[in-house]
Amino acid sequence: MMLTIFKKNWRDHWKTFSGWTLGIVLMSTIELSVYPTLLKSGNGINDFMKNFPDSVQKIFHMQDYTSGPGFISTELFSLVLPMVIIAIGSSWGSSAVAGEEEAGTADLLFSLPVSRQNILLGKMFSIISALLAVGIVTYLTITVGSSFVNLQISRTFLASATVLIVLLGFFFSGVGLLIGAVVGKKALAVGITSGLALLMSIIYSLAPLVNSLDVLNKGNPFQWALGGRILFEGSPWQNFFKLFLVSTALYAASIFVTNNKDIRTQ
Amino acid sequence: MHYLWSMTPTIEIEKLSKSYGKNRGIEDISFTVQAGEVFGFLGPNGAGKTTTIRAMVGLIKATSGSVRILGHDALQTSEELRSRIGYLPGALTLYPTLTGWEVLRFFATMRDRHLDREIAEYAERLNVDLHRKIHDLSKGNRQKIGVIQAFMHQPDVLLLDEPTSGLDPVVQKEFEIMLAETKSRGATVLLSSHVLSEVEHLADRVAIISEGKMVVSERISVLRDRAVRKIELAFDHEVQTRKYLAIAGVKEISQRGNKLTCVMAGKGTELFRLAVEDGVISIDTHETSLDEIFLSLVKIENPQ
Repeated sequence: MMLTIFKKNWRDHWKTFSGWTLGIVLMSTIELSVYPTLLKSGNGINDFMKNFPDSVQKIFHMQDYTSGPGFISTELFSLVLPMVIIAIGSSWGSSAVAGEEEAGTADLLFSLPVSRQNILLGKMFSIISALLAVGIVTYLTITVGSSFVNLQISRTFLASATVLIVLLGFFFSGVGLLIGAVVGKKALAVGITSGLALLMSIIYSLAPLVNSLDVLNKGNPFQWALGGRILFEGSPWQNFFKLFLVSTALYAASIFVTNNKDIRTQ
Repeated sequence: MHYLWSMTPTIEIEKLSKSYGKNRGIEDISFTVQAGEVFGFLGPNGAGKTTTIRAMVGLIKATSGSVRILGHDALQTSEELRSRIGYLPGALTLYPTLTGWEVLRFFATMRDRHLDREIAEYAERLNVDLHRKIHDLSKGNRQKIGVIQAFMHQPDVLLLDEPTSGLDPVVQKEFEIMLAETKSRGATVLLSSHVLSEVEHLADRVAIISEGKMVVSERISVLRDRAVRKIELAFDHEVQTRKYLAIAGVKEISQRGNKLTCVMAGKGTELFRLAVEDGVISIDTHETSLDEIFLSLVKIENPQ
C-alpha cells in the first residue's frame, strides 16, 4: 500500500520533476562548457572578481573563481542548485497533505484501510527518492562533465556538497510538509516555505557583514548546507547530522499533526 | 457474518458532538442502525449530515460521544473497520488526471484487493466509460465512479452521503437495485439525503437532523402515523362537531354544510367509528407527503 502511494506520488509530480532535473543537467552542462574559455582569460577574471565586496566574494566563493572547485561553487552550488532542490522539496512536501485536502481527494484517500501514517510515509519516501535522484543526476553530470574540461575537483568533496544540498532540500520538504499539514492549503504552504527559505538565505548572506546575524546564522540550515569551502575542504560531519536530524524531526512532526487533525474537505 | 444474528446494532451512535466554533457542527447526535437495514439520514443542507458521516469514517475527530460500527470504536483509527466500510463522500472529488480505471484500481490496491472483475461489472451496469480521464467526465459520470468505489469491495457497511446527486433516473433505478442486493446479502446501509422522497421507498427507518441536532429517529410508517393529516367526512345531514373534537388526536374541525374537515394526528379508528355511526357517506383522507412531515418536524424543533 505504501508502494502504491509512493508510485502515485511520483506519477503526480513526474512532469515538473523531469523539467527541473533537465534544467539542472542543461545548466550544469552549459556552465562546464564555458569553463575552458574562462581559464583562457586567466587572471583578468580573478581581478574582476576581486572588485566585489568581501562578503559577496565569500557567499559566492569568488576567491578562487578560476579554479575548478571555485568555479563550480560560485556558479552552481551557491545559488542555482540549492534553489532548484528547495523548489522540488518544498513543492512535493507542501502538496503531500495540503494538496489532497485542497483538491478534495483527501476524503476518499484517508477513508481507505491504510493508516494516515502509512499514507504519509509512502509520500515521504517518494519525496526522499526524488531528492536523491536530483542529487545523483547533479553529481553524475558534474563528474562526467568535469572529465572533459579538466575541472580538477575532488569527487569526495563534490559528493559532500551534493549530499548537503540534497539535505537542504530534505529540510525544506519537511517545512512544506508540516506547514501544509497545519494549514491545509498547498499554495499557502509553498508561499510560507519559500518565504522562510528566502529569509534564511538572506540571514546566511548577510551574516559575514552583521555580527548579530552571525550568531543567528549558526542555527541556519543554509549555513550548515552551503557554508565553508566545501568543494575545497569538505564539510564537518556535524553539518550533515544537524540537517538530517532537523529534517527528520519535521517529518515526524508532520506525521503527528496529520494523525491528529480533522481532514479538510471542499 | 456473526453480527447478522447478534443483538448489537451494526451502527451505534451515542451523543456524538463536533463543534467548530460558534454555529456549525453537530450536537448530541444519537441513533442506531441494525444489521441489514437501509437507514435514511435526512436533514436540510448544512444540517450536519456530512459532519456526522465524516466522523463515522474517522476523517474528523469528534469533540465528544461515541460511534461503534461492527463492534469497533470508529472514532479510534481502525484500518480493519475501514476495510469493511464503503464510503461515498458528499463532495466527491477524484484524481482528475487519472482515468476511471486508474482511480478505481488505485483504491482497490490501497484496499489490498484485486477487483477488476467487480469494477468492470459495475461500470457496465451503471453505463460509465472507465477509459476516459476524470476531468473529461460529467458530474453524473464521476458520481458513478464514486458509487463503484463504495460498492466494489462488497463492504459490510455502506455510508453514502447524498449518493444519488447528479445521477439520471435510469442510473438511479440501477443504483436502487444495487442497494437492494447489498441489503439482501446482509450489509447495512446509511443513506443521507436532503430530500425525503428520495429515500422513503428505500429506507426502513430514518433519522432527521436539523441545525446539528437530532429531530427524530423512527420507522417511516410511524412517522406517517405521527404526521398531521386532513380527513374529509361527508354526511347527508348536519352532525354535531363537539364529539368529534373530543377524539384523541383531532386537532381541528371545520364544518361547511354537511361536510366535516378534521385535522388529526395518529390513528383514525375512533374518528371513522363515530363517522360510521353518524351515517357517513364518503371519507377522503389526504395523505401527507413525507416531505411535509419532514418540513413540519424540522419547523417544530426549530421555531424561527
